[in-house]
Amino acid sequence: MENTKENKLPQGTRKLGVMDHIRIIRDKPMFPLIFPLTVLILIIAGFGIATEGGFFRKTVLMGVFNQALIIATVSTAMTFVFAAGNMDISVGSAMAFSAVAGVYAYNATGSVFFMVVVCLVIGVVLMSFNGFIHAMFGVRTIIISIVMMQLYSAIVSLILGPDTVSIDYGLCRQLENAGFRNISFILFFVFCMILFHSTSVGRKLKFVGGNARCAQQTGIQYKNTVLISFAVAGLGVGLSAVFSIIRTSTVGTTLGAGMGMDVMLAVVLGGMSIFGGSRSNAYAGLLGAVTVSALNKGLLMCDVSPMLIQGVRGIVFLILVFLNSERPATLPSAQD
Amino acid sequence: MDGKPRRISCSRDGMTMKQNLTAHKVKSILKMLSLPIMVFLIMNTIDLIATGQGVISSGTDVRALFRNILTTFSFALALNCNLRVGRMDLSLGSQMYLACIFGGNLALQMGLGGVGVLIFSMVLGLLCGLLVGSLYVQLRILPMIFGIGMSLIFECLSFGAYNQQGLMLYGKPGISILSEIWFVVAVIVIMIAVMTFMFQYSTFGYKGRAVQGGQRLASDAGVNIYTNCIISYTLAGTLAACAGVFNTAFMGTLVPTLDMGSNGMFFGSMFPMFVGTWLGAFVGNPVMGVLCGTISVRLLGLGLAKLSMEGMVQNIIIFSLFLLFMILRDNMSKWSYRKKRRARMALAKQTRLEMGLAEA
Amino acid sequence: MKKRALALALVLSMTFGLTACGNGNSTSQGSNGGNTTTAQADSGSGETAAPSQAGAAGEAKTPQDFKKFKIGVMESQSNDSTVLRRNYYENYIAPRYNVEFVFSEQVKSAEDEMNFIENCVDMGVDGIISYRSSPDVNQIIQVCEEYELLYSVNTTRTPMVEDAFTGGYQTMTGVWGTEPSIVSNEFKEWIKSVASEDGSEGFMVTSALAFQGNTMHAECTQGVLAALQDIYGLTYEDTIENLAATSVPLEVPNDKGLNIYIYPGTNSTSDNWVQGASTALQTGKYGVFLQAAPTYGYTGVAVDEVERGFDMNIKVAVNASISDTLVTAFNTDDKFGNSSLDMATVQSVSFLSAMGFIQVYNHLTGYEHLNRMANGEPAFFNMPIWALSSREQVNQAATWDNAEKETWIFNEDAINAALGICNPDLTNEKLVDYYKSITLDWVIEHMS
Repeated sequence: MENTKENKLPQGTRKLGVMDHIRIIRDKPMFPLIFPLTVLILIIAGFGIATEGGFFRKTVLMGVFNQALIIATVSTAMTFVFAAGNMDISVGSAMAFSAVAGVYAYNATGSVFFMVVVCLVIGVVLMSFNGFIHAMFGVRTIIISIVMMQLYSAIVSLILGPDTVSIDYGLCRQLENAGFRNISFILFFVFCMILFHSTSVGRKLKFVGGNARCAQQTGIQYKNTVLISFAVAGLGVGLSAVFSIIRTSTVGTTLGAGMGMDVMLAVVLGGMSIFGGSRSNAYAGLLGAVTVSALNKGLLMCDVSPMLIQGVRGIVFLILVFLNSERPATLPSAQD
Repeated sequence: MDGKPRRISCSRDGMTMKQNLTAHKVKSILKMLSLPIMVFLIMNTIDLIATGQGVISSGTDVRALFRNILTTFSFALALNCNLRVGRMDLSLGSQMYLACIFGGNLALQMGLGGVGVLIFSMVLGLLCGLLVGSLYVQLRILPMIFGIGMSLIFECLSFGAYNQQGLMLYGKPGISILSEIWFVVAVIVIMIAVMTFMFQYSTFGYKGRAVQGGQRLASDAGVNIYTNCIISYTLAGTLAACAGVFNTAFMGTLVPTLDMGSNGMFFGSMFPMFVGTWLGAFVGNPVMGVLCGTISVRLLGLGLAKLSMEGMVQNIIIFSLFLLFMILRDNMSKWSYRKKRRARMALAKQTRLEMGLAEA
Repeated sequence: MKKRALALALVLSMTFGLTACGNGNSTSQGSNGGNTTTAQADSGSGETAAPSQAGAAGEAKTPQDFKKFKIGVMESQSNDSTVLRRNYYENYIAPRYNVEFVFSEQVKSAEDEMNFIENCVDMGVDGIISYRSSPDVNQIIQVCEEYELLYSVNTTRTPMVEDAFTGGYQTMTGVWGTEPSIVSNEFKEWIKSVASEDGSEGFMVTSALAFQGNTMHAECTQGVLAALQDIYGLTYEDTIENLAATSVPLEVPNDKGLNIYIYPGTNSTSDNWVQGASTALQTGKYGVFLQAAPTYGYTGVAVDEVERGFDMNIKVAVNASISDTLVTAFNTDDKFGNSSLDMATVQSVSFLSAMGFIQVYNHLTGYEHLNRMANGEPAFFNMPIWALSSREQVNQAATWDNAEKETWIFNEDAINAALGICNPDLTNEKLVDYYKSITLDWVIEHMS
């Protein structure tokens, strides 16, 4: 039987309303990518108009990307942790710790390679420690991360004392001009994308994040999966420590302060739920970090008072998250 | 052990059961009190050995201790309102700032003194909590993420108001009452009474425990989880404001902050809260448990401060103990089960051995 | 169908964006400054647009003779002083000197500084006034040199920032601030006036961020220790520099057995800081309390409780700035009917802010020689500090630097006297002397 436009709907069938159409769009597999990307484009377009085209300049857009690079690196790595339904806000302190170790390694050996290796190793060790505590003892990751955040930053303060440590700025500029950070990030991003979306690691993480008990019963080892996720996160933390050193050539006690919240903001703005599950994706961190960076830069260029920038950021953040999230039937909580 | 069934002795009038119950209650209370007492004894000993002075060595020590206990107790209770059902509200610190700055300044402008500052701040805290709770119920964004967003907004509002001065209580008339021990104790007692009633004996508390068990189940059983949630947030905001007022009274001033700087008290109150809920399980009263947990952690902090340790070192010690406690708390039952299992297996082996010998 | 519509919408917005980009790259004037940035970045000569407009020496000019300069202001704190400064810059200086200011959020790290500088470059900013004094200055000046952005920072010339002075950076306009020795001298004089002959009352010093390298706090603390050493002929077991930089509370050992206690940190470095300070005061061993940072708001209650509990009058001196908090503290009576603060070394917000502006503005208008010492290195301009020791003085000072009434200590006349465009014959030495001449008496006379 043909369905023509003139056919009436069978009795009892309800016509789809606006909310239904919205729900259908939201459930599309591509929605987690399209929506944040659209938001980003709209933000750039909006600020471009507001600044009479000033925001569209190549230097500005490159600046947005450069400023987002460190958060994007950590956020991309942290999607592995979030995908499994865990949380960690100690990334900033861990990054500072890695960076301090990296700078000391460089100053001792003069080798950039050694500095990178030390940063990566320390990052992996620190984050793996968090994962280990959770996997072995079952303590919630958010609690572990709150504690470790304080511990790592206290240790960094004790090590650095009143000083900052630095490396030769000229070397940093050389590395920066050679595109070291950009190339490294792209390689790392591609690595994470492949690992997350094309290998069993990502599938397991999403399964565990969706329903850990179910995943366990299908044979997925929760502990191993979690340890892997934290190890990858550690790689991201170590790499971002390297980026941080190259960007500023100096490391102080304030490095990485508040990064845990920024990472969560970025991941959520990028369209991923921090409770993980099947709709997790590895590109959310990059999208979200660039969005935040564009927002900050745009607000400043539009001469918004620094006192108000934070408030505007908060409102925009809530609106975007609300639009991007599926409204659950009951209240969302860690229980569910 | 001998294979004969045990007889439970029970007299006609139930006196023995009552005695057993009383003994059990006393035992539970002692268990709950054991931690703060132990902490006091240990820190006192260490301080005496290291400095020649105990943890509490003067009247002003007592005053400061009571004040800090009230501040932390109030904030830990505020945390507990939502955390017990799995909602980590990161906006609590910013609610405290907003409520104290606006409420406190309003009260000072009206010349109302310390009590007025407290009442006005708590009212503003109630309103902040109500707003956050209502928005949360409407928007249904993940609580942690929602808390971050609201925190950004509230901090901005607090910062922009009153010429960025925040709330200055030092030197203001009528504020000294907030530092008086009798007043602090009275507030603690009232808080215990009110919160115990709310958590243990009111419909809100009953329904809250149902939600704690399972949100969906509670909803299906007819509990209005949304109203319960809003009340939790409202209570939390009120308690946070109370904590903020007494903290400001001690510090002299509450300076507004940006960039999620208001989270300091949130993270600092988690240890007392977790210890408290664990202790409270002994007596089935989380409020008393949180009070004991607060006293324990505060005594620890006071004892470390007396040792003239660097702030970072104090933090390392306190947070390391926090981590150890959480590991113990989450694994004690597991280890206890494994211990009992090993004992049963050993018994089984022994029994089989005996039977084997008997057969032989 | 929906996918196509969505794709079309995305393409349209991209097209729109690119079109706007193309329009944005065409000539544009005014505050957006896109061309200015491009022109400056492309010039490669390290010169700003202004010097070519400076004209012949000896010829006075007005701000309107120059383009509208854009100046970035980098703040390390968010408090009432920063808000007052913003008001001063935006509402007083900007309209009078044909400049525009861009303000940062709170800059807490080198990364934040880099971000702000890059944003400023994108906005066509000509110079940066930085209120973040840290060892990162050496790195930041190199960044500014690369972007050909003038850089002026509120600090003093210390070994920490020496490379910025000796590196030959063209865009380094210099630094300005209060020589810590001046503050410590004020503390020293005050201690001499209040301390007993035998020093038995005991001295407690909050060294604030001295242990983190804050020069002002370190030198304040060193000044106090040096003063006590002078007054009582003390011998310490370690150097004064090491003692002042202690990161743990320290009972300073000395040969006369005087109670001298250094308590580092501030409320922001430790949640238990106030508690620790209170604990120390509650021993009753310290009758003189000196604070290298404005932490009196936090310690006021503790001091009051100790005074009541021990029936002792604690003398309090603090390094602060003029603010409502300071005024309230001075006007609050302690148990003995005295002011709860006995002495405060203060700075004027408008004076401090104007010095930074003058440094950058002189450079922009072609008078960079005013920012250079005889040996060609960037200059350090010392800002006088005033010691207020009575509530009358403080109440009077509170009426200065008032945004609502637009009464500023460093008003237009005072600024003009320091500008090369108004005084073409001005030299670096004369400028240094001019700043020195702005004493408390000068201010009282001018503000009345």
